[in-house]
Amino acid sequence: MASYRKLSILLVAILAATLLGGCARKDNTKIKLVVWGLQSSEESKGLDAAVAEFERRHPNIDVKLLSMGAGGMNPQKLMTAIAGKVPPDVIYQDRFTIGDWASRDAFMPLDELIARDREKPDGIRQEEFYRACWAEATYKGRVYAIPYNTDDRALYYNRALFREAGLDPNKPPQTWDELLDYAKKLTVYDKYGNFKRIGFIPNFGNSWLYLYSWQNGGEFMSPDGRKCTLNNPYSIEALEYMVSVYDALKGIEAISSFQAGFKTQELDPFLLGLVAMKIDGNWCLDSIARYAPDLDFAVAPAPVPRARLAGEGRFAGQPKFITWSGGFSLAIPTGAKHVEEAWEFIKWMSSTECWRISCKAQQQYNLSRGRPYVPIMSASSRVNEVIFREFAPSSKKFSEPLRLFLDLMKVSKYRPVTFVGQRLWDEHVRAFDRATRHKMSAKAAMDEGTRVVQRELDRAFNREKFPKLNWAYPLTVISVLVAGFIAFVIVKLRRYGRIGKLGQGEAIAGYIFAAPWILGFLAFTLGPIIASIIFSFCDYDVLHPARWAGLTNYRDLFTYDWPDMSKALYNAAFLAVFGLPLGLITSLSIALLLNTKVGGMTWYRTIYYLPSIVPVVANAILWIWILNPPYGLVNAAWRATLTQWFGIAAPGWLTSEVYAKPGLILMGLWGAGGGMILWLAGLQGIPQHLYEAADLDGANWWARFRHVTLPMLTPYMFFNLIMGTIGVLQTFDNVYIMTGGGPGDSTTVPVFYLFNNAFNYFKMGYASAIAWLLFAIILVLTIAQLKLAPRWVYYESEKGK
Amino acid sequence: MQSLAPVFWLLGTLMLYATVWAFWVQILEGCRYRNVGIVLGALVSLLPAIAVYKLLHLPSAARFVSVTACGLIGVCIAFTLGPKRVKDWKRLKQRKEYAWKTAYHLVLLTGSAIFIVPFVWLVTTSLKEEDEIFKYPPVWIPTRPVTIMYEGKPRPIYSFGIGGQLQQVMELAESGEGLKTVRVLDNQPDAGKTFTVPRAKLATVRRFALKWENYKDALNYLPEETHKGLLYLWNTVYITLLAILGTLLSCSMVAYSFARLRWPGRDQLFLVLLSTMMIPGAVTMIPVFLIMRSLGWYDTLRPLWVPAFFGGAFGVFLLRQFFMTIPTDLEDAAKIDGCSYFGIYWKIMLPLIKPALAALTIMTFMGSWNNFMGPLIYVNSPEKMPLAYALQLFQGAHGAEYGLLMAASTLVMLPVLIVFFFTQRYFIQGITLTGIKG
Repeated sequence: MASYRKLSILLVAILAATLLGGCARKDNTKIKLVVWGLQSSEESKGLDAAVAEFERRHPNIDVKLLSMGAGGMNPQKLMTAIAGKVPPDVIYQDRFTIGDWASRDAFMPLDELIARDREKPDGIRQEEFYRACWAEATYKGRVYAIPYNTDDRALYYNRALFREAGLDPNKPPQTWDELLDYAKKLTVYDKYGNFKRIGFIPNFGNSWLYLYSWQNGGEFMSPDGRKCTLNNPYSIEALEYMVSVYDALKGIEAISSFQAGFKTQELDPFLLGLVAMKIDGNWCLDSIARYAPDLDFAVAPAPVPRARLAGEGRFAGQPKFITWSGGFSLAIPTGAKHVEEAWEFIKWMSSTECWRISCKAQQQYNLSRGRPYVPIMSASSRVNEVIFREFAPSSKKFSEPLRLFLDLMKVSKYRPVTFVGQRLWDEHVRAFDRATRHKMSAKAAMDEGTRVVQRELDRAFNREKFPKLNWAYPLTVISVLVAGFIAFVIVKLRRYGRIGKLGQGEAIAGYIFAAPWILGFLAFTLGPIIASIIFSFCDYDVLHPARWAGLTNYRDLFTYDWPDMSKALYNAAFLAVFGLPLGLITSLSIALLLNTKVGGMTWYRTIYYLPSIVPVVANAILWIWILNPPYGLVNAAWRATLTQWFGIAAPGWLTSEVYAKPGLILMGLWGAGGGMILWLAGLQGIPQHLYEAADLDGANWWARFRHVTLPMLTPYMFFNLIMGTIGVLQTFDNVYIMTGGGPGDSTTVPVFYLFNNAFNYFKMGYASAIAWLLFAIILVLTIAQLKLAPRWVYYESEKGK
Repeated sequence: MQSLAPVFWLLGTLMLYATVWAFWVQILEGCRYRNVGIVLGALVSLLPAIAVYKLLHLPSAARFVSVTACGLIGVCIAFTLGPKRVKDWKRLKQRKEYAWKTAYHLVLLTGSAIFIVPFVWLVTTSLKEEDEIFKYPPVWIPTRPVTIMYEGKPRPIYSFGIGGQLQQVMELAESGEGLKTVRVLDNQPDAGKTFTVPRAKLATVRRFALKWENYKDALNYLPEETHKGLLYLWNTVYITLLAILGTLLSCSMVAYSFARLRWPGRDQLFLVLLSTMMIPGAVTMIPVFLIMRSLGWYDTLRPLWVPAFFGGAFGVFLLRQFFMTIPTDLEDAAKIDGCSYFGIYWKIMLPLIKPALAALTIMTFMGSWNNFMGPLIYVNSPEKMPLAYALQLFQGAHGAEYGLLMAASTLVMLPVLIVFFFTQRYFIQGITLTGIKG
C-alpha cells in the first residue's frame, strides 16, 4: 500500500540520519585533555595565550576547554559525569566548595604528585602559596586542588565625597563605630526622603557576614570540623552590628529598593558616587580603571571593632586588620583518564612563566582597546611579586591599593573547609536575611542556621550506621510487581478472548500502536523512576553507593524540615491558585481575539506569540529589568498612573518578599501567548454548522460563546488545567535564574528546594523523597480532576452525553 | 482641578480611542465609496480639536480631556452630517462591518503594544552602544557617538564649553589619568584651538544610528571552530528536526491507541503516562544519564532526540484529547469499508488532526531549540553543542556582554519566529473538520 511505502521511506531516512549523525570523525593521535570551567572567548586573551603556549610545549596534547555556564560552575554536570565515570581531566573549581567535593572523594588527592615534582623547576611548593589559599584546598591533611587565583577585600571610599561631607579624605574610618558614623554623615536624601546617595551598605560589594564575624573573632566551625559554631556570641555581635547599620539608614527594604537600581560596569554606583564607601574585592580596581579613571578614591583595610584595633582582651597579639579570600583552583577529578597530562597542565598554569605570558597577552589586548590593565592576583605569593613588579599600573592611585590587597593576603582568612561548605554558606546568608529583615532576632537567626548545619554534620558522621543498599531486594520486589502486572494483563486478555475476533484484533492493534511508548517507558523511564523511589529511602550522595536508611528522609521531611517544605508548598500553591486561572483566561481571551478573519491576523498572532520564544536567559534578564523597582517599565507605568491617581506606592517586585510571587505571575502572563496555540487549534475544530444553527436560533455573540464555543473547548480546557497544575507545581527555571529562592525564601518552590538538596548539598536521597511527596500531591489533584472531568468535559465522540 | 486629574486622564483616553475609531471608520468608508466629501469632512472635523490645543492654555490633564472631547464631538457631527446614507441598507451594513473591524484592530493594537514592548526593548538593546543599555529613562532609539575622519583615523566628537559657549571639538589624543587633548572643529567660532581637558568636562555628541556591529561581534565572539556559530546552528537544526519527526510520528500513534482502541490495561497505563509527567526531572536525571551512558550515547546528540521517537507524555496526552473530539461515525464508515486500523490512522485521523499536529510541531520546535540543560549534561565536546549553549558564553564571571547577548538572543529567536509565522495557516482551517458534511 502507498502508505506503507511512505512509512518505510521515512524509516530508512531516519536510519540514515542516525548513522550519519553517529559517524565519528577520525581521531588523531593527540591526547585530548578535557578541561571544564575555563571559558575561552573574545575577552580571554590571557587564557588563550597560556593554553596556546602549553600546547606548544606539549605537542602531543590538545587542550579542550568547555565552559560550564555563567559563574563557571555546574554541579549537575560534574556530578553526572563523575557518577557516570566520564569526568573531565581537569576542573576549575571555586575553592570554597573543595571541602564538599573532596570529602566525597570526587577529586584526587595530589600529595604524591606534589612531593614527586617538588624539586623540579615547575614544581608546586606549598610555601610559595598564601596560607589562606593552600589551606582552603586541603581537606583532612590532604591537598585536593592547586589554588589558581585569589582575591581579598578592603574598604573602597570616595575621597571627593568625604571632602564634601566635611570628613578628612586621608583618615578613613578604622573602627566599626567610625564606619557607622561616617556612613550616616555621607548619606544624602532627596526631598521625598528617598536615597540620593548612601554612605555605606554593609553587604553591598563583597564582604558578607563572614568578614564582620572574623573581625570580631567569631568562627563558624569548630576546629575538629564536627560542630557548627555559627551562633557563637562574637558572630552574633557582628550580625547585630550589620543590622544596626541597615536600620540606621532606613532599614533593609528601602536600601534593597535603592540597590535594585544599581547597574554594573560603567554605571556602577560607586563610580557614579551613589555609594560613598563599600567593602569589595580587588577585582574592582580593573573596573574603576576602565570606566572611571578620574574617580578620586582610595582603599583602606576594612574597619574593625574598636577592641581589635586597640589589641585588647582576646584580640591581644592578633593582626589589627584582616580580610578573607576566595578564588578558584584546579583539581583532577577521580577517574580522570589522563592524570599525568592533567598534572602537567596544572603545574604550567601555576607557574610564573605562564602568568607572565598570560598577563602580557591580556595587557596587550586591553591597551589595544584603549583600556588600562590591572592584573588579578595569583594564589602564589612568588608569582604575585613578579606580576606586580612587571604589570602593576603606573598610576599610584591604582598601584597602591593593589599593593595593599597583596599585603592583606598575609593576614587573610578563608572559609572553613568542610563537607557542608555550601550548606553553611547558604544558611549564613539566610540568617543574615532574616535578621536584617527583622523576622528573627540576630541570635535566633543564627541559632536556626546552626541547628540546620549541625544536623547535617551529625547525619554525615553517623552515616556509617546505615547499611549499604543491597540491590537484590528492590530488584526482587520490582520483578514481582512487573510479573503481577503481566499476570493481570493476561487475565484480562483471556476475558477478551471471549469477545471474539474483532475485539481481539482491536486489542492487538492497540498494543502495536502503543508500542513506542511502552517500549520507551520500559527502557528509559521505568528504571529511573524505580531507582528514584529506592533512593528516597536511602542516604545517597551520588558519588558513593547508596545506603539504606528506611524512612529517615520522609521523617525529616515531615518533622525537622517541615517549615521549609511547607513554605515551598505554600509558594507553589500561591502560584497555582492565582497564576493558573489568570493564565488560562488570558490565553483563552487572546486566542478568541485572534480567531477571526480580520486582516493582518498573521502578524498579530506572531506578536502575541513572541514572548514565549524568547530564550530563557534573555527572558530572565529582560524581566529583571522590567520589574526593576526604581527603573523598570512596569513601575514607571505604575507610578505614572496608580501612584498619581490613588497614591499606591510602586511595589518592590523581585526584591520584596510580598511582591516577588506576583512578579513571577506577571511574567507568566506575558508568556500566555504561548498557550494560545492550543486554544486556536481547538477553536478551529469547532464545526461551523453548530454556529450556523445557533445563528438560526437567534443567538447573539455571548450566547454563542456560552453554548457553542465553551462546551466544545472543554477537552482543551481539561488538558490545560491538568498540564497547568503539573507545570505550575513544578516551576523551576525562572526561579533558578532570576531569584534563586527569592527574598526571604518567598520564591522557593518545591522543585528548587529539591534541586538545591540534590546538587548543592549532595542529598539525592532526600531530594527524591521531596520529589515523591510532590508527585503524590500532584497525583491526588490530577485524579480528582480526572474524576470530575466527565461532568463538564464534552467529547464529540462520546454520544449521548 | 488637581484631584480631578486622574479622572480627566481616564476620560480623555476613552474619548481618544472613540475619536480615532470614528475617524478611521469614516476614512475607510470614504475610500471605499470614493467619496472625497466624507474624507474631507472627517479631516475638517478635527480642526476644532487642534484649535483648542493651540489656543487654550490649560494644565495637561484638562487640556487632554478638552482636546479629545472636541475631537469626538467634531467627528460625531461629521458622521451625522453629510449625505443621507441611512437609507442605503447595504452601506449601513458595510459601515457596521468597518466599525466592528476598526474597534477590533484598536483593541488588538493596544494589546500588541503591551506584549511587544519587552521584545522591542530586547531588539533595540541588541543595537545599542554599551553605555546606553542600562540608562534610565530607558533608551528606545539607539544613538551612537559621532566621529569625524582626521589624519586617517576616526575621532570622536564632543561638545565642550569654551568661553561660555558650547562648541564642538574632536579628540586628538588621550593621555593616561583621564585627560584628553581636543581640537575645535573648523566650523566653530574658536576653530583650530587645542585644549587638554579632563574627560568629565566633555559631553559626547551622538546621533541616531544602529549598532549592527553587535551582531557581527556576537558571531565573532564565538570560538573559531564553529564557523561563526553555523556549527551550533547545524547541531540545533539536526536535533530539532529529528525531535519533531519522532514526536509527530510516535505521539500520534500512541495517542490514537489510547483514544480510539480498546485494549486491556489501557486506562491504567494512561494514568501511568500522566504520572510520568508529575515527576520532577532532577531526580531521574542521574539514573537516566547512567542508562544513556551505558548505551554508549555519552558525548553524542542522541540522548536529545532518540527519546522523541518513543512517545513523549505531553504529546500523547495532547493528541489524545484531539482524537477524542472526532466523532466515531467516520471510523465506523471506514471500518465497514474494510479499512485496516493503520489505514484509519493514516488516512482519516491524522489529516483531521492537522491543527494539533501543527501546534505540537511548534511546541516541540521551541522546546528543542531552547533546550540548554540536556545538551549540557550529555555532551562533552563544544563542537556538538547547540545554540542555547552558545548564548551563555556571553555571560562572563563578572557581568555579561549585554549588547552581544541580546544580539545573539535575537538571532536565536529568528528561526522560531519564522517557523511560527509560516505554520500558522494550519491553524486557520476554519471549515468543518468532522468531514461528514462533504
